Amino acid sequence: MAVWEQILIGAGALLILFLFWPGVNRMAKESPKGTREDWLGFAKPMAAVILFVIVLILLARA
Amino acid sequence: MSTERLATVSRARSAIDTNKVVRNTYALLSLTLLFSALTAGVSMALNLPHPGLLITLVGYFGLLFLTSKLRNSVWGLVSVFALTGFMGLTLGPIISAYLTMFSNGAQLVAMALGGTGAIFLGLSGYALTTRKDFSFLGGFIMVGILVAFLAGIGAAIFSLPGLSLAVSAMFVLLMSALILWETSNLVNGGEDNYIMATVALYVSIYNLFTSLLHLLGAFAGEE
Repeated sequence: MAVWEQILIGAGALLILFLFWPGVNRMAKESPKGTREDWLGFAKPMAAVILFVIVLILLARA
Repeated sequence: MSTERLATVSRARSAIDTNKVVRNTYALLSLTLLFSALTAGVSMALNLPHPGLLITLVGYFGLLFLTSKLRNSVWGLVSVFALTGFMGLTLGPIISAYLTMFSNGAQLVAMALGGTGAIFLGLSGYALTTRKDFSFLGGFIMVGILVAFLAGIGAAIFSLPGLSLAVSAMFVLLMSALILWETSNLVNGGEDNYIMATVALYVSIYNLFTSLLHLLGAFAGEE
């Protein structure tokens, strides 16, 4: 990647951070807070996804 | 009409509206995925080079902003096809590279595709059947995506393959969470615009596929 391209992409990343941060920050503050049960209900499918990806990698290596 | 009856009619109307948004979202998602596969196939057949990170980012964010602006008009549909068609065009050269770079490239691509489909169907089914409210994930997902995106840019600029792999692993989890969040929003009436719902689900499927492909290539690719 050329230096000018690296600089442009870096500047673009900063611009995206500048544009999106207020909305993301507001969303993080205004989102309803989950209970322990809510997070458990989220952790179970996430654990299944992690397990599935590990199995997928092992199958591809076999 | 009594207040109780009015409330029942209002609830029934709200359920009908929600079902309509869900139906429209999945119909549009199917069409955009087919269109994206078509443009990816065309770019592979024509052996088009990858446009590079800069053009990809400008095209993606430009069309994303355009779709967001036009989401309430019929032009939003044109814009969503332009976005997904463009994403398909950038995907073609990536798949071609995996097919030529690895001797088991075809197997890796097929597994990434199957894995993406299985994760999407599994998580959508979980959110649709349990009807759990995942709205509490909104802030967590958005902050996570922003951090992962900036880390991904850093990994590309400074050529850090380890960080790039960690970003792919992060993206698999974040996109899975995004599927749960958006599907839950659809069923619980939190999202009433099917164009934006389609964009969120399409982006999660696209990123899930490319991240899985990256992980499979790194851990199971045979050069």
